[in-house]
Amino acid sequence: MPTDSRIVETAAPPRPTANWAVRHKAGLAQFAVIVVLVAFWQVGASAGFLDHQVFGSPESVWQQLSAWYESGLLLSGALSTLGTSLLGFAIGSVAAVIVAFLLSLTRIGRTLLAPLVFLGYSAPRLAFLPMLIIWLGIGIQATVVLAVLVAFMDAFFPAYEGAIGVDSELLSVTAMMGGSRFQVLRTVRFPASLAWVALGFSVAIPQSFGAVVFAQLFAGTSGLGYLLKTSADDFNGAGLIGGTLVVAAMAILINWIVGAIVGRYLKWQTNETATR
Amino acid sequence: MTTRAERGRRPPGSRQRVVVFAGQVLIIALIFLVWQSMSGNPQNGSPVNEFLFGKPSDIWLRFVEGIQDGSLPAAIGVTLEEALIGLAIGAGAGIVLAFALSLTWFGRRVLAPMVFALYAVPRFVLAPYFIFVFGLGLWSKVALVGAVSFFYAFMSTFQGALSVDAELDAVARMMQASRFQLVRTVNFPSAMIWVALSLKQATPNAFQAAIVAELLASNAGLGLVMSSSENRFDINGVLVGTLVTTALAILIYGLVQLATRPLLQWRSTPDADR
Repeated sequence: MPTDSRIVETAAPPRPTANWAVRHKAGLAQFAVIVVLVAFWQVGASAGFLDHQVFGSPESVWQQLSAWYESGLLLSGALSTLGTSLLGFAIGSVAAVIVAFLLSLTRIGRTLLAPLVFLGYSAPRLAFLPMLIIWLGIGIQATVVLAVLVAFMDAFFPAYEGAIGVDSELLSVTAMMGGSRFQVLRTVRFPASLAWVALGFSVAIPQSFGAVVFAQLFAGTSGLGYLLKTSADDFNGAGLIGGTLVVAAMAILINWIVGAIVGRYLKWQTNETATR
Repeated sequence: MTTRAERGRRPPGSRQRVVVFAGQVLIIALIFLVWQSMSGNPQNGSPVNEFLFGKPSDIWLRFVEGIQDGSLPAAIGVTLEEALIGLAIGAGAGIVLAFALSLTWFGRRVLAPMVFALYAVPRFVLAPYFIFVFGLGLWSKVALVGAVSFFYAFMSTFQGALSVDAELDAVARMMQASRFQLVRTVNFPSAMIWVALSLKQATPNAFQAAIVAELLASNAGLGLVMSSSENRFDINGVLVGTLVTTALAILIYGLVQLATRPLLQWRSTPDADR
């Protein structure tokens, strides 16, 4: 179970002599909690004090998931959701970094245009979906564009902060040595802001995944969101719970992978800047 | 969020600020002007198809119509009601649970990391389940808003409850404070700043969650205005909903910034900007 890196208790490092069970005490306890919860769920469902209509049962959810797995729906749905979110993330985040750096270069960009982008940041982006569907139709285009929008907004902020918040000493040194605007960008601003860019990406990936699931729920023709939507239309409670659990598991996995990658490259950064 | 950016550059004079603001208004006005003049029936040779992209004057007419027949204020009221009830329940639960878990080893090291892991899950995926359980009305939206607000409140408050000034903690312990007294006199006051921060994040997201749940299935609210217009392929109706939603979101964001500013001012730690 991944602990959030922002909240690490200052516990003494475990002594090397401590045995495996002691070192993984917390992990084992978490596993036990999950086992107890699932057992309670199953017992409650079969004893009848958990309403089957509302809570389903581990058994029925498992049956639904294996039926989906055998028909290939689960795998194709997961791949479609994942692929669409990665595509949207890639386009949106690269565009965000380019726009952020361009705006950081000129005064007009910094004072006039960047605040307009900030204004867009507080807009509820998912609410743009009905508009996008009218423009682009139901299906993958509107879904990708929504993910692009979401990824753009999440990646823009940190990239922009990184681009303008560069050590002013480095800037004046390069200016003194006659560096042009683009030389400064290439040799100072961009390397210095990489940690920020990475941080923005680590937010944007899970967010674009969420946006894709939502778009597929609203008007999808494929993917995990669509699987959930059809379950809802059929009043299939086990399908709803199973689909939600699959999406949750995928999201946790994505977050964990992204966290591991970003954490590795941000290690050199001091805690104070890297964890903001 | 912008405070760090603002610190980086020279403090703009008031005259400069007026020029910048005027420039921004001008840019937005220009966009609407071009949109208005180019939008029309494509069969008459208009470069922008009004059936696809709408027309500002028609959007305005639809907006006025909605205000006059009372449907738009009613929809706004429903959405705000859902967001507020959900926020109160979700954030309240998040704050209480965060303090409770911060007290014991089992809470801190076993249960809290599990909540953090769930934080990665896109909350909107719960919407169909909540609609399935609570029906089309108010309570399925309140449930989603609550789930969204819960996580923001929990994450921030838990962090605050743990990051107590060690000196204060030591002094209180030295004076034989009980665990409850410690929470009441030390942990809780110093975590208030984190609670304020979390509400700052949670409020705009609560509003968006209410909209999202309404978009998926509802019988009232701003989300219904958008989704039902979309079903009728009525772009002007969709745009009225989208623009009103965006304006309200920006308004809420600004109000929250204003409301939390005095709370956050007394402590000038770098985290306070978050």
